[in-house]
Amino acid sequence: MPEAQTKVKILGWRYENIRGLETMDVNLESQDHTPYPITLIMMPNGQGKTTTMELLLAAFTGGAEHWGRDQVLELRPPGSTANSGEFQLRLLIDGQRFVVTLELDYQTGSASYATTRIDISGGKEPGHNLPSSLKHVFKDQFVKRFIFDGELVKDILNGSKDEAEKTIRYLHNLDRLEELAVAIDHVKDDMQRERETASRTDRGLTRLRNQRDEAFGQMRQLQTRLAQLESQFNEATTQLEQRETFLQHRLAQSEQLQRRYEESQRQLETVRRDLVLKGQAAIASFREPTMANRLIFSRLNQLSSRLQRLKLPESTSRQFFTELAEEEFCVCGRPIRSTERDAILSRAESYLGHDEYGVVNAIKQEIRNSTYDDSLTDTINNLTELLTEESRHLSELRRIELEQENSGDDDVRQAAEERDVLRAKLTSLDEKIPSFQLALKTAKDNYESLQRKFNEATQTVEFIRKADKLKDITRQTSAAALRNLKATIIENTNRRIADVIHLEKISVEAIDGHLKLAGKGGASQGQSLAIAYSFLGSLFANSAFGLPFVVDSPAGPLDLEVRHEVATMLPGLFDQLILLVMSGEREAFADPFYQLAGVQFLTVVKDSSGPHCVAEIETFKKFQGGKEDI
Amino acid sequence: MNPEIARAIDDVCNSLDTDELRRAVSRLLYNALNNQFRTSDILSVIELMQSEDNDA
Repeated sequence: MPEAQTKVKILGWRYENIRGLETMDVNLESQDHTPYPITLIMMPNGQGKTTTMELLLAAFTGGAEHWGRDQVLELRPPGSTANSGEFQLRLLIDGQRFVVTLELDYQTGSASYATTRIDISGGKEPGHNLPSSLKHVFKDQFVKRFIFDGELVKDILNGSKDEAEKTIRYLHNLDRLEELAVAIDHVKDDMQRERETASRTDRGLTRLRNQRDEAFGQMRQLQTRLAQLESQFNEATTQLEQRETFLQHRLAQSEQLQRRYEESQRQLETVRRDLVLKGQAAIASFREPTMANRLIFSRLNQLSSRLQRLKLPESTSRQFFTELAEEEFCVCGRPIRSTERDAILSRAESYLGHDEYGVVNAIKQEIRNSTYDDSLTDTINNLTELLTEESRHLSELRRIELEQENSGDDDVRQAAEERDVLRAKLTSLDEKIPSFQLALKTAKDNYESLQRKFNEATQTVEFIRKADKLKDITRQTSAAALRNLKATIIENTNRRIADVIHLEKISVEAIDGHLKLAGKGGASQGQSLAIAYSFLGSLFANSAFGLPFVVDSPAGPLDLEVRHEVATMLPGLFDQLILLVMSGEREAFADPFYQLAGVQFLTVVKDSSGPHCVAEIETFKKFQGGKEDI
Repeated sequence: MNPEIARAIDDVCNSLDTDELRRAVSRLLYNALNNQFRTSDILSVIELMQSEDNDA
């Protein structure tokens, strides 16, 4: 547990003139005025829950001031003549009471805030004034990790998403180190602009800056496009894996097909291994030209013989004439004057130098020592046969897949069609991505080169170098912190998983964007959720803030058996747990909570006086609510 | 400060050349994580890096 954790608890909230919820209070305080550790709020399906999540998010972040007119007016009850609406969130922060009021002006379509610090100033002050330790923390992405959409929990284990890593970053404010890196860039820009202004007359500098900015724009465009393609690739890979797993599973149900399929796949793997080995041998042989074919070998031998006959004495090398030009007399006894000297030096270039002479000799030697055999031809023939064999096994696998598809099972046919589409998509992306990587590298080199020239022109080379070093230190720190945090979070998560999943040994091996489980076996849907909630619980326990955890539809898409499993584990994970549930979710999910102490059951019911909140367990148990109730 | 993050700052800053620079960079990183840094803090660290290079 980190030192001095800032504790935040929700004491309740109040709606006034809000669509679907009208005017109503939701109180989470027990008789001793402390919040219940767990509250289940039954709300009819439809706007009630979604609106509540939206208002809670806005009350924490202070972001409603940027809402557009339509977003504000959507909250006005239909047919209402009310000019204003309000959402009040009551909080307990480190033992002190705060009320954040989100004021909605339905006439102007605007939103504003007021804050009451009950234990400090007592009065209502305009603005969103939470303690400074929280004000800068409660940003949209951060708050969404504890005002949580239950559907998002699946993303924590989804290989194509990086939800798990993002959550660690947000809850530990590591993004602030990225903000520091951006601020360092601004300092660099300011310094360069200052120097540029000092030499305003230099048009070349302006041109250089424009070129650099344009190159930066191109680089960014390519980065974005490449990231999109890579994300599509990862997503398609995950989807393909799912379809293939499904098809494998169905295939296993037909033993004969399965046996044929496994045999073909085994043979295909053997052929592919041989292909790699023979391919490497062929590449090695290609490096010896004499081995390429018999005709080349014979021609090279002829060349070697002629080189032997033409054997040049070393003394006729270029160096001989260069040295001769420095003499007073030629070898024939005639004096060497400047005319002769110039002629000798210019013609010396026509002869081989020592280095070139050495190369020619090495070639001669190499040819003389070489022999020819048919090994390369054999290797190539072998490779051709292996490729034919590979293609035969692939056809056999495809035939088995088709047999399976034609077995009359619509699910299999659909999965097979989707698999084929995904394979085609992956092939196309696989071809596209390298060209974008290359283009990005070129664009990056171009940008860096222009940036260097600009630095030189503005005489900020040294300053920029140091600023970049500082930026590098910032990023290294962020990476090291993330690495350390991941190690601790994995350890804590696995401890929690062991507490809730007893029958099987399941553990998190790594956090690589998403949670990676140890071993090849996957987890059931219920286990996946148990793992994801264990992760979130560990993360919260380890962060600088003790936060409430509000989940919308925690059991929505789950089977009854799984719901029970998830409901049993949730209470131990968070200090304050608020679950917004529908009547359809109650079965199997609510049962474990009925047995626990310190749980409050609220039900939003609607009667002639409008919607109100009933704090009775029996009402909660019996309530049947659909969209028509509100 | 979370101990894992504090350890990361110490590890990275330990590779810096002088105590003064280690202290300045470490302070800047702590302040950044607490959302309390100013542009002048960045400039001071860069200047310190330059002057230490010149001394060397």
